[in-house]
Amino acid sequence: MKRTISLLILLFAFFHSFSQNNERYDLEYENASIDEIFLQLEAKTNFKFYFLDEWIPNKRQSNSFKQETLETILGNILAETVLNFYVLDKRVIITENNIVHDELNFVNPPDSTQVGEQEIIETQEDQNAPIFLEQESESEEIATYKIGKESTGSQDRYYTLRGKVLSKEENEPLSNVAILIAGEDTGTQTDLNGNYQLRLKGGEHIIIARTLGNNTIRKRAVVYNDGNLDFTLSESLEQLGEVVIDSKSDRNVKEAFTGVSVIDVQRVKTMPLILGERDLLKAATTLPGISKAGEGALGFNIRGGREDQNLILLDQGVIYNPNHFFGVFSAINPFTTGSVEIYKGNIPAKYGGRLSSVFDIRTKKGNTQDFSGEGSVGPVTGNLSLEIPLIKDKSSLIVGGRATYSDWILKNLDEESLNNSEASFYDFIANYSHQIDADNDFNLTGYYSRDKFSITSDSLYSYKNRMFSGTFNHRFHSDLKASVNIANSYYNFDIEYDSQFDNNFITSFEINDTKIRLDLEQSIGDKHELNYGIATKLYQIMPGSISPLGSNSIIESNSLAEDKGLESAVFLADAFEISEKLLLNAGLRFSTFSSLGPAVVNQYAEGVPKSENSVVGTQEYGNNENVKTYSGLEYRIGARYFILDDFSVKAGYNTTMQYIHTLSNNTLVSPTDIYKLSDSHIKPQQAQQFSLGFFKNFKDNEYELSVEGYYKLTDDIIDFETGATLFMNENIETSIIQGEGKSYGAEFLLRKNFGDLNGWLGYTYSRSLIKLDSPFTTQRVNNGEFFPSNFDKPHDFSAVMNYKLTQRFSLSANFIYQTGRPVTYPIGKYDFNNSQFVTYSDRNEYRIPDYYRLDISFNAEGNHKIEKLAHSFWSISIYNVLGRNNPYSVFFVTDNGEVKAYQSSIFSIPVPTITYNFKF
Amino acid sequence: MNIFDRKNLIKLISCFLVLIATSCVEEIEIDRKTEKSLLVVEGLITDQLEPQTIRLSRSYSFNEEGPFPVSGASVFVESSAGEQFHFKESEPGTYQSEPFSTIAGVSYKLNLEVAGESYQSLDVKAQNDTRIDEIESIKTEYREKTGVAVLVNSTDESGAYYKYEYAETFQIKSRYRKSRDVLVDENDSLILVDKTREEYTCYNTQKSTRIILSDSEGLEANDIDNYLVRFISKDDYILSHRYSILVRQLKITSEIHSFYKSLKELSESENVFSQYQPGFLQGNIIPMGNQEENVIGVFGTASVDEKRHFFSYEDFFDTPETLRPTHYGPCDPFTEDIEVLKDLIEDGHVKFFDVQPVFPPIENLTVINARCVDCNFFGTNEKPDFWVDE
Repeated sequence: MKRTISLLILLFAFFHSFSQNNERYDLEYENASIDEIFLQLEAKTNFKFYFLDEWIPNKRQSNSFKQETLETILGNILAETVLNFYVLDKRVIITENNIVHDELNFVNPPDSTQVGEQEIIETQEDQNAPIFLEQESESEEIATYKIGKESTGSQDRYYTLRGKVLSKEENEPLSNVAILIAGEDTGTQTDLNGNYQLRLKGGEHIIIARTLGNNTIRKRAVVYNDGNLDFTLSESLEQLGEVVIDSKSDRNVKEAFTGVSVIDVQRVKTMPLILGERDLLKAATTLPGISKAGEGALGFNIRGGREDQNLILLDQGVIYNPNHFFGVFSAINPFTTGSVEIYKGNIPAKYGGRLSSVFDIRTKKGNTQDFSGEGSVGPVTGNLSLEIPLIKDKSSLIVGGRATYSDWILKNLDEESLNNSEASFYDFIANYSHQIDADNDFNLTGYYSRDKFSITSDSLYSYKNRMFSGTFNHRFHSDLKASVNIANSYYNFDIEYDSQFDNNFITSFEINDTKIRLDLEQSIGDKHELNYGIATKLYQIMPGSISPLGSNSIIESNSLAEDKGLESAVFLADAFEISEKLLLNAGLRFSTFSSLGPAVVNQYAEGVPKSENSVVGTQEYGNNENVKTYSGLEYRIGARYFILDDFSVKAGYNTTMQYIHTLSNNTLVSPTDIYKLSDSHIKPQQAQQFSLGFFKNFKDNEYELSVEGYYKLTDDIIDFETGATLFMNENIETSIIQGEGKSYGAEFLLRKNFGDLNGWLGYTYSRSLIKLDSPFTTQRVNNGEFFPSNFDKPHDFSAVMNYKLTQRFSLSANFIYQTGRPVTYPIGKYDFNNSQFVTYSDRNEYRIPDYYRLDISFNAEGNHKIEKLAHSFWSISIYNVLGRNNPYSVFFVTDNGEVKAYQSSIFSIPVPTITYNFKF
Repeated sequence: MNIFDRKNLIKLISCFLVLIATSCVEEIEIDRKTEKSLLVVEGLITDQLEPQTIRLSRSYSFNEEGPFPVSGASVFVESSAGEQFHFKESEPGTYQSEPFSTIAGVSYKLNLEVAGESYQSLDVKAQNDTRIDEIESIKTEYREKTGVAVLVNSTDESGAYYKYEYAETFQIKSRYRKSRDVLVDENDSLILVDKTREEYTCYNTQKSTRIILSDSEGLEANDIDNYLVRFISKDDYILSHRYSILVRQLKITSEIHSFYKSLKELSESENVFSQYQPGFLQGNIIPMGNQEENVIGVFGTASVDEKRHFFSYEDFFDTPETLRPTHYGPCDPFTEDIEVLKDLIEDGHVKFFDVQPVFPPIENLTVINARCVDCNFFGTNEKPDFWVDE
């Protein structure tokens, strides 16, 4: 039996508290919808329920109660909905988004069914009594808050509304919550501290705070002056981190920048991923425009850019190699990460130094109230993160660590050849955040990761990343904020060679950079949001050293001269709201790079290829002497125009410069790749990108549809002569070819943000082409014509789906299809040195077979009683269900004088995994 | 320095991740066809007074059987001292000169004319002498395998670049030593005769196929100490008896060295997860006409020294002879119907094994696969001139 009643704001002054009902009931239901539960309750009790069918969410839930009061039971049932309830005699009135006041008594003309209501949702202490201004909008039951002291004539002025969004259960700040103004084109989202800030005209506004799922709260704000409005949201199941990529509601439609991908960190949880490793960067590759050359490839290719063209920032500090185990896992801890944003089109002016993208990874804000933690146990790794409040409400420490038990596994394998192998990794992150007062806070992050492996018993290979970053934020006044960031990043690799033959050595590479950046944000009127500042970064690279290992070694110590450079920039950007429909975000960045001494620079003869034989002289430079300076003005321009309220068109023009290059003569990037700064002979890489996109949201941002196109030209990208030796090469410029690149593509993304079925479909058509031309034949590839790059994969389709069976159980699936990567294939052979060798086709003339893969996972959530000690989450996943033998690479070796071709694949069979996650 | 072994790596990954000890590397067919055949030049002239050799051939498709020698070319080498050395085709694709030796400090240049097209090498300077001090063999572990390593030691006044070649000669001993043979005589009956040739001990010689390079750049002294030229696993039958290796040390220029090094890297794929970017590897032969034509290979100079080294299985291991790795098997004697036996014997498939207790009757004869008692299938019974028994 269902009854519906029409609800108005109906009040009886004499109802002043919950009607107490102390009876206790037993109730048990499984996979039931809320209305079914109500029916069950009606049968068990003599209460009648009143509600509207359309309010009942599709969610199903299971639970059981023993001797609980009706209030407790209902509180539980409705905990993750927007529904509230009120008990009146033997009636239970269900209301939607309904704020029920008990402290103010005001009377409306009674209607046919009159019920009293009470405040069960928070009230603001500093609020005056809410006033319902317009009675005609009373169909929407919304609490009203007066912001600021009421004054006259305030209607036409703009004021700043600030506030914080906290989770109801844990009182933790919620980030990435969309704060929208109904019927207006403004909105924002909360930052990592859960804070938001909006500029509003004086007067009445409906303010909507919306997080994932259907969890929305509306408040009416009557703005008289600057003021505060906080929200408390029920976090629902998303606590354990069930978030789909991008929950930022209409941000995609609204912002001026094209090509921004947001990884909603939490929702990656349910994605089936290899060996249960929740991997944010892997998840990113399912979005259009972001790809990896293969499963075991390091580095990302953003819109046809090379792997070294991405600036990967963790709390503003660079991580040079955020990969473990040859790129099979990423080295970013999923539990401590708060947000991941990838700028692949327009890059904000404050970032620079890489051509293709910025990965802005932020650690989440630690809990300043309660101690909490999260962890996982998978077949390969264990992971634990803790949030430790140090000073209540002020400071918190968050630490996370992950390590493998792979060495133990390898030792216990039957395979004898692998018992001496070693493969291990770990990473560790600590973040301290401190709110000094309302206007000052700072944040410190330390990160360390290390990988170690040996494949043959005589060589041990290891690499590590180390990063420190500190940011101090200060608010001068509501219109001016400043932030200072200092960061230091370090990356190094070592190869230890230890054999029986007196030639043991250790060889290593390291890069160290230190950066300082001052960044100011300033609002001017209500039309301009300025961002400006300066940044400078010192690079110190030890390009290679070798030293004997053990006293018998005959190897001579040697190290190449330090490579030093200073990169500096000033930047200014303005988000200018020209009209309600048109937003322009125009930025300029002037960057300059100086290659610094000490250095000995070779001068080469003109008109012949650079080689050791064409050196005509050398010039010496003293310590910190300026060897060569490059500079350039970079444009970062984006514009958005609203065609409809939820339909916008955006265009962008973006130019970038890059002064640091990865040297790799592999078809895919490897961890032994080294970095080189621009110098007298190596010019900076440059890129310009034009982009155009259409963005449309449907059904209150439930669905997002976007189509983006780009055309990108790059210049002076780095490539090498065939067979060049890069490591420990003192005259590296003799092997380098600088060429140009051209890439273009169209990206389609359809995303369903909430509901039982959520996920996205992405398809990209793109091309990435390179041209290496030179007057000298040895420096020309494919006759100086454009040819496909190593990661040119024209068709790329991804489907990522999650279906909630019940509140606790869900199914997820990924399907990926990609055109096979280009390869250079042998086309003939010849006899030489008493052996056979192959001749090759033009570079990248052929392709390996197409790639496709289906993964599925089944996820079970522990039950969600709030008081429960630890939440648990089980995930059973199967990677590559179809068992598709996707070739990863093809390679050709001369073995005993004969040529043989091999194809290697990783995960060529279905890989099942069970992972246990917990949170306390 | 083979730091990364691809097959092992992939195995490691599959084991590590999937805990299944199967390799995900599989051999595949290469079926692409070459549209153009390239000229291949191989020539290192030495400081030894001997006929010098230049080899010319062409590259060919995978479905073709090589080699494809280039005949009828005109080949000569000119030196900066003004000399010219002409080469004559001694066998298809192989061009030999009258004996001459390179002189340290003099530059040499190869000139070719093939099918109306001219080619020239860059100038290559001849090297001063080189000397092998010692060849050693030691029992060692290498890549989880026990075996014998052959090491070379040499000295030079300055840093030098070396290429090594070797020819290894090893004894082969038949599985059974038999002094008699069984034959079919003119009356079509089986007779036993004494063996007339050596069929128990033979010798085989194999030349190195790998590119072996070393250099004394980056070494504390300019000496090559204990450089591993050859490693033979204990499981390899060539080690089972007496073994000899002739190591040839070629001191070459750094340019030639780096060509071989790149060729080696591209073809041996000693790389972790991805291969070196393959492509055409530029040597030092330049076409004079069509600049776009690619010529494979190099012309170089080398000063040479050779040294021979012997050792026996017993020097390092004490496994009894019967339990050592063998070159052929299984070897099981059998008997057959007389007519079948005659055919097998006449075709040389089987040889005498035993008669018990007497012969005739023919039913008492057992035979065995000829390869089990005649080592000439696997080498030559002629003892090489240089061979020194223990």
